Amino acid sequence: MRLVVHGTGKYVVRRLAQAAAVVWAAFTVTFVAIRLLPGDPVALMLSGRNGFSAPTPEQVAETRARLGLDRPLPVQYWDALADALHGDFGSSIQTGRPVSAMISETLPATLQLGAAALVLSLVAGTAVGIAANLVGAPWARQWLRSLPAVGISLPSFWVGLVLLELLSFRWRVFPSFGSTGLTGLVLPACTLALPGAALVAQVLGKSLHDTLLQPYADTLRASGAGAWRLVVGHGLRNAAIPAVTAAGLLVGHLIGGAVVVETVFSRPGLGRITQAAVGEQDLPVVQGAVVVAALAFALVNLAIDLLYPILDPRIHATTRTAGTPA
Amino acid sequence: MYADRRRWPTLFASSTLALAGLLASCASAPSDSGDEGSPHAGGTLLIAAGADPGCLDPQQTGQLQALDIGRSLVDSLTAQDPGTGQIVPWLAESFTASADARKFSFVLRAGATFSDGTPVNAPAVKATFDALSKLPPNGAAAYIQGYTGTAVVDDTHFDIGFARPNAQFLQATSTAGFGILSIATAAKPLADRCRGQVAGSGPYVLRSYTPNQGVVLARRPEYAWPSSLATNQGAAYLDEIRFNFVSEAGARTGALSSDQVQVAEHVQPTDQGQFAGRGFHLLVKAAPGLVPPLSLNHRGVLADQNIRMALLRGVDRGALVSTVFNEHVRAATSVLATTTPYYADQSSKLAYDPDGARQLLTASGWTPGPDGIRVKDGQQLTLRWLIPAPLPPANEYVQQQLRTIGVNVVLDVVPPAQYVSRQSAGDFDLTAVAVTRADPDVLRNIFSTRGANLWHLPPSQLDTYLEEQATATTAEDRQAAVTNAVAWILDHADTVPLYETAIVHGVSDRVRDLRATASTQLGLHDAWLR
Repeated sequence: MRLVVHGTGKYVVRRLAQAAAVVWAAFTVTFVAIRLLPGDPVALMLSGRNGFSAPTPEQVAETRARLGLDRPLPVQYWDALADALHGDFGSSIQTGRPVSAMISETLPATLQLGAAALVLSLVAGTAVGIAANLVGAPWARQWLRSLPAVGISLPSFWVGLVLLELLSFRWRVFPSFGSTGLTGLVLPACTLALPGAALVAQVLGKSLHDTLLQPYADTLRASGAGAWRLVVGHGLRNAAIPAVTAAGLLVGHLIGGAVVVETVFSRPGLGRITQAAVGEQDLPVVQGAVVVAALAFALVNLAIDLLYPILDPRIHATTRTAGTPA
Repeated sequence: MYADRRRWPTLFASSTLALAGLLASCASAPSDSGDEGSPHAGGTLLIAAGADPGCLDPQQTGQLQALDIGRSLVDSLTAQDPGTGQIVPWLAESFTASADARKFSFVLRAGATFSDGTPVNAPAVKATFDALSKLPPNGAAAYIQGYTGTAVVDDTHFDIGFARPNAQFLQATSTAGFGILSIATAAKPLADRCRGQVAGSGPYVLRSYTPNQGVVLARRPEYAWPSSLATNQGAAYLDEIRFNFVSEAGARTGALSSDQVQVAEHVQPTDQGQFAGRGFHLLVKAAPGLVPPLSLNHRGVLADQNIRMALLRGVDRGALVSTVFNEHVRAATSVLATTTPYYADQSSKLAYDPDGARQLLTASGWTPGPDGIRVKDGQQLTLRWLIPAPLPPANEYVQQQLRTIGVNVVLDVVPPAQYVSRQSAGDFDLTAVAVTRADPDVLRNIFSTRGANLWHLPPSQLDTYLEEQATATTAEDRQAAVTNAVAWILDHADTVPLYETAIVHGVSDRVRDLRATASTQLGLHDAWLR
């Protein structure tokens, strides 16, 4: 017992180190990628977006010096990294606002949206995955199996606009903009949840199907277990591992999808500021947003890795190395 | 007043314009249907606005979205009549220009106060312009260059001086960017001012600003100093105005048609038809200034006037407008929009003449190649059009038209930060920069070789004409200089004007007396809800 706890502790420490490495890599890649892009965020800011009064080279140079962008790249990198470790991502080049303030203002709305979409994805995906293995009629089974492919191929912006058109503009059930409480959350969360639900349904459905072909399922059937008991009582637990892995990847989908969904539904959030910042090459803002997203992704996947041994005691925390189960 | 280079996916990179004749008819609400014809106070006006401009300070931004909001927060020294272009009193009850257009003397009205309680007086005007003149010349500051200072005579009298003649200054004083701010505002950090810490003397005050979500304005009950154009002499009628940032144009239209808002800004041409009758109307404001053009880099291939002239003649403006737009957009008849003061019709210089265009290309040695694209010395006639994303549909149509005369236009769509640096570096053949401003001095901003000269024009007689219009103090002199400048520009094909456009907002019939200012901003002081 003592050995296992010790081993699990070591495992957690190692996974935490991996998570930190992921976040650091995201930070570094972003730093390099944004610097490699042609274009100058300082010139954009000074041009005031009016298109005709280009800033003079002196003005650009002076502003770059004020922002510290004239220093050698390694110096900028180390300073940015050291500040980021203290939670300081600097200030937006475009607006001069501290990045930490921009993130803390927008993060709650995005977390709310992401959490709602995650729950919806898991519930809907699990329901469809189970139903596809439970129903008797072959046509219904086939239909339920095709559903995930449809869900995953519909683009989010299109789904969002259709939901808006029907449920907001035509039938006036939900508001079309702003995050006014729960009613404002329904349509964006459903839109964001759709691809995730399809992913979970697909993976779980397939995994359940495979599980039910195994000999133990025949044994259960022979002993008189009904379809419900077979699928939900026994199969689900055995089939859950790939679906849980998929749920970890889903967090990545949600972060990317938030950019589109927040735009379509005019919600303030991290996705919106990230999108704008990338277009404007606003390095400090992009850097802050990417680190927050990478942290969320790494932590959720860490939590999922720790969940595997609970789901399947055969998987031992100390022996696992990666997020994919055997 | 300024070009809005990127937030509106509607037209060209930078457009927003419209027509004088339409002003009187379209800018007003539909005729009263008999009930409650007189304004009354109260109510909240909900507006679906475009994307968050990111900065609300009218001095720091040229974005139309920000100025739409800022216009209700600040008052200006003067106002501009949207019908005639005349400059009329507002915070200044009278004003004069010196004979050399270098000194402007104003007399302020008494009794106006800022929302922070301090009086609108000459020292506040001085603080406002002193601060403005130190900003980068990217927004309103572009129009105060050469400022030598404000001489305060007493609380209500002051003189503003310039190093050079500056005839456009009076019009600039009517814009939101030149709105007068309290002394405390001038001292605030620019980032805080962007967030709305701006105390003006306008009919509304900022109650809240939530980035990417919206802005709430509240009425100032003690307001009693509107411009001489206002019908409402007291406080604004509306208790509150809520601008909601809805960046999807289709979502704005839907929000209006489902009564979630009473105003949808910038309705797309395809959606405009659905509002006629049915309890809605359109607020159409023809935008004055420089019409959306092809802006030509005079370096490289386009140094050849024949090729520039071929582009000028090879665009069928009538077909462009009828194919891509609707009746609110019209073919350009000059470099300037018809609603710009000192506009003159030059449509004879803008006739569609594809055969003439082909002859000009042939004359310069460009002959048709195997695929129809013209070739000279083994080189194809290819022009790169630098476009800030997203790509407007009109650009593709122009590309197709120019292909028929044998010019291969490559649409080079890039993110904004790249657009600005590549435009500054001259790394393009074509861009499209329009400027919304109700003064012909926009010509000088774009075409003078003494300014940024992003299009690398060679110095010429044109510079003289442009200086003359900036120096002129009589209407006749200014008209002559402007007409000479425009004729020169078209005779040398220094730009290819395309179309005149309009700002089109969808409005519920419940909203009354909502009008657009001469600079195309929403005038919300007179507006009321039925």
